[in-house]
Amino acid sequence: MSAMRAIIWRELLRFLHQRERFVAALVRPLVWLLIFGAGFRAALGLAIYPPYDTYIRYETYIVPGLCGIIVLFNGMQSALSIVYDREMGSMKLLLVAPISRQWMLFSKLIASASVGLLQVWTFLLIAYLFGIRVEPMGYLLATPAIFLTALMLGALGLAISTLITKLQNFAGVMNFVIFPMFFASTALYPLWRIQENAPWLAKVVEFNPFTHGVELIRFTLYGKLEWVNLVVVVACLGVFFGLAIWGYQSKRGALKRKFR
Amino acid sequence: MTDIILENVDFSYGKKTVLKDFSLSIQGDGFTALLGANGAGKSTTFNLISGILTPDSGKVMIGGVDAHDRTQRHTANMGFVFQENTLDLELSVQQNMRYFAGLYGLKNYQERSEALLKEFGLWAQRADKAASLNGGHRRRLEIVRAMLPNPEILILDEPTSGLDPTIRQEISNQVHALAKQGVNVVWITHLLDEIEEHDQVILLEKGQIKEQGTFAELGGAQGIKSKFVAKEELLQL
Repeated sequence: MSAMRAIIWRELLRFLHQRERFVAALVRPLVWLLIFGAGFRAALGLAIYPPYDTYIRYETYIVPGLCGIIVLFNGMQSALSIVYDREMGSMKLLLVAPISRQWMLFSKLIASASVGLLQVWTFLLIAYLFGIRVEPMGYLLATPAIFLTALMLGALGLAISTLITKLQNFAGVMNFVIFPMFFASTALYPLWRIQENAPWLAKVVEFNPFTHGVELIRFTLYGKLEWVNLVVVVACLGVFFGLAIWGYQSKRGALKRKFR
Repeated sequence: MTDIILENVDFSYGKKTVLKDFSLSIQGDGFTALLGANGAGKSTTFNLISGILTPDSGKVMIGGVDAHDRTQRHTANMGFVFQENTLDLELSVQQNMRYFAGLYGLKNYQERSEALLKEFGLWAQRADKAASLNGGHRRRLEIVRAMLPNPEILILDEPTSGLDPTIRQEISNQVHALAKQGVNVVWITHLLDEIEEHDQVILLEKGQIKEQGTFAELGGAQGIKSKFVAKEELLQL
């Protein structure tokens, strides 16, 4: 536990030192919320649809999706920092520490998800100040869902980082992950609207793990739970983390290619 | 229990074989220099001993324990100084020490940390960010940090690379002093002037041991240079 505490402490300290990273993490969803949200409000009508019991504003609808995009970007940012550490050599310090590689990766994952959770809380606070609110209990119930989604996306980032050998390749790969995951999900528009207009896309959205993370957050914000979302998020977390562990074994790709 | 033994180790990066049926034995305490030109297999040997890499076949034994069966206690008994910077440059000197102590599960590390920082002339810089330290201080901090768990084995991979001769000599002297205190020091280098007369020297060439003995037995700098094909890569400043 001491090693995990140290890794979380270092990650939080690093995050606090990088104020521009904090601001950038918040600007992106706030632009969506306050500018795109206002613009799309008129264009996208929303029906009463679970978990909502009444008509809601478009800005309210996209809040869970924006929480999702915060943790998605944060997960990829953490993966980027791992690739950077590996490239610069500082990853070696962790690799020779008296902790198992699985525990080291798990600690990294918890640290990344903790940072993501801090960002989401700050975002929700700003949204609250702008009048975009849910029941107070909803914030509490959604916290584990946000954390779990952050873990899943952080694990995805870790798994992807095992495939990246050079830092400069990371941006390109991320464009093939972040934007398709975000846009082919229910973050910005509900599934029933996609089904009406593009049934094939609706299938893609349903198979997108990010959709299930967003829906998990959405339902828990209203004190509800759809088990399928929870099961998919936990299963994807297991698969992505398993792939990351496999990739970081000392006999395999990520390390063998790097430390030659 | 500080012996380092590699037995019939094969290791390759893809199709490129670096070590083939390689065996190495570093016994007990003292200062051993693993000397070789670029591409001799020094860093691969370091990565195998540290556990960063696993051999394709053969055994890596530290203190009689196979690397596969290495426990946290065994790993904590080894200090590593890497060729690359592994400090967190955004953290201060003391924060780097705290982070390392956390990774190694050291509870009461402050007293030893203070003593080591003083011994290596870093106490005045303890609150400075690592990014603001000069190259020599950064390397010293890496050594101090590696010594924090009081390891019996200290392995350094070209620790003075990129430093000027005076600082290199100072750091070499400080590490020799650790060896005299009983630490089993393995110093990987291609610089002959960092080796002292009574140091054990293992000459590596193309993934094989070419010669082994004390620096004096191998004929000093001139003798070693004459034994090397790639002698231009071994510098004596």
